[in-house]
Amino acid sequence: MTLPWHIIRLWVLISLAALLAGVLLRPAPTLADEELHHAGLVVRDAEARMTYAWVPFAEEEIDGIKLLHLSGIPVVTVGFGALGEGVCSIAGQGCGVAECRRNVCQGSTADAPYWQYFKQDPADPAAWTWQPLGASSSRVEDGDVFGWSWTAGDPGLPALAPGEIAKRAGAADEAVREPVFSTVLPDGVAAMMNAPPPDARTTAAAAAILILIAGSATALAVKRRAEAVA
Amino acid sequence: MSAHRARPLDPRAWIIWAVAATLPPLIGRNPWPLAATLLAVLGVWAAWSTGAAGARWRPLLRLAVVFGVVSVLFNLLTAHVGDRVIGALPESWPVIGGELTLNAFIYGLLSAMAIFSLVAVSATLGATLDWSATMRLLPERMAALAVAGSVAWSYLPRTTAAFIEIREAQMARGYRPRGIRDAAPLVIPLLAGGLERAMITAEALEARAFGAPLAPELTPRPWQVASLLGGLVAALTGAFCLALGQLMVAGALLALAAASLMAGLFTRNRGGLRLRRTRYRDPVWERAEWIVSGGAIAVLAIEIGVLVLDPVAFRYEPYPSLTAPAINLPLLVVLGFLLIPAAVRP
Repeated sequence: MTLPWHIIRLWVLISLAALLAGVLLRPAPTLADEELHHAGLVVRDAEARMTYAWVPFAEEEIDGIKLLHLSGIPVVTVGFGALGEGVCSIAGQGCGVAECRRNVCQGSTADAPYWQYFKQDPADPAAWTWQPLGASSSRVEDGDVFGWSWTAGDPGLPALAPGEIAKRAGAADEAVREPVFSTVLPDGVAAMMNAPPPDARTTAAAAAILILIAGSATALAVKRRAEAVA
Repeated sequence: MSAHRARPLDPRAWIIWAVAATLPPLIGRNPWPLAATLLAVLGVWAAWSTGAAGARWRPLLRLAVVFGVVSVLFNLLTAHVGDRVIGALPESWPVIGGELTLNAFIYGLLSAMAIFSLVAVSATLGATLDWSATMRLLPERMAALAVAGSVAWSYLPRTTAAFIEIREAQMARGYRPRGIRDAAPLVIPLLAGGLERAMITAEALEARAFGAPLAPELTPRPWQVASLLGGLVAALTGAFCLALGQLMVAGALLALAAASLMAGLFTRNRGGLRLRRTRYRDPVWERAEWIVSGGAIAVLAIEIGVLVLDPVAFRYEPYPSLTAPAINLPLLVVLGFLLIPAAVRP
């Protein structure tokens, strides 16, 4: 005996609705009761704005992309399947998603900058080692410090011990339970700002132009079709 | 008295219009120019897609809507970036696991809009272009390539029509599709019919001496063949560099391609003779063509100017935070001129 088609369809719809409800109503994970590990993050953009982050995490180890996302710094990444994720922009510096999918923000010239990924040597805070496999393949453990620099060559990352990075990030101590980050601006450099949104009058004018185009398109199409019928 | 039957516009005017209409969806995702372009293109499509030609290309637009929905879902499920979280899938799920964001949904929607605009331009060209006149635009030496391309292009609507006919015939016999396994009664006749049409077309072309060897005095010299091949390779490499954003290298390669192709196509053969195609009817270029091509060239010039002076007018990223897109009012007004082909009557 086979089930009627409409019952199968109803069952599939109910299953999908239940799955969606489960996904949307899933409680957010909390770090409150777990023993936490911590890692530091230093980000340097093209104009030497320095962002320091101190990030707690519950797992024994995480990857560099997760560290970046957990830090709370505005980040855009795109997935490259099994190769991991590429970093498009950090704190407003970088490139758009379309360009990032093409070339991970790397321009055609040898001196074109892009987001390069480094790890600090625990024994020598001044030594930053470039990570050729990228952030998805790096393992972040308790006490590690990683750096991102928008550069084509020298990272320009500071020689700071993890405790100092936590302090500059705004952490009261190294055992914080929430991620913290803070940006330090060099002299004469302004904070990264988004372009101001268009005002209401401009938006209304743009909407009116679109309505005019839509109206003209409809009128011309109706006229042409009427002519074709005649 | 019956109304005067409109002749088709010259293909050159349509091609210039198509270039101007495809630029906004190709270069950015700003919803304002995307919407203006899409509305204008749909207006032109609706005005010119009357009759059988329009009906043949309508399924392609329906397919574009399906691709658009897929694009929105794909982006929502795979781009876990943005500040407006609307849900989450378990992290352990490969590729789609993670946060679902409104930002990703909106970017998917804008991409769908761009895809639909490009398909609408193609469908308009498909329904309105006079293909034989378009083929005549190509240099004589590329006539064989043009015929092959034209035949291949014409198979798209013919295959769609054949699919609809086969489906109707099978349904008249009681066929009811329930899943992917029921596709065989549709696919097998479609494939067999397609192969049969291809054989008939090939025989008809061969009967008209298509592909026959040229007389020795008309055979191109080896350097002309090498120049053509070099030009094509340079054009492809240049297009690839252009897609990668390497503008200087792309410009140099495309210039080299143009020079090589010109040398290969427009120089005389071994016997000093040139292939010459006879024309039964000369192409018509009148007021309507001047208006459409002039309007499209003006739109194109302003698009390029805006791209250089105010690129944000075309570009928009809803990542990492959702912000209002930039508005360039003169650009929107100019994009309205893409409606010109709907207003003229040849």
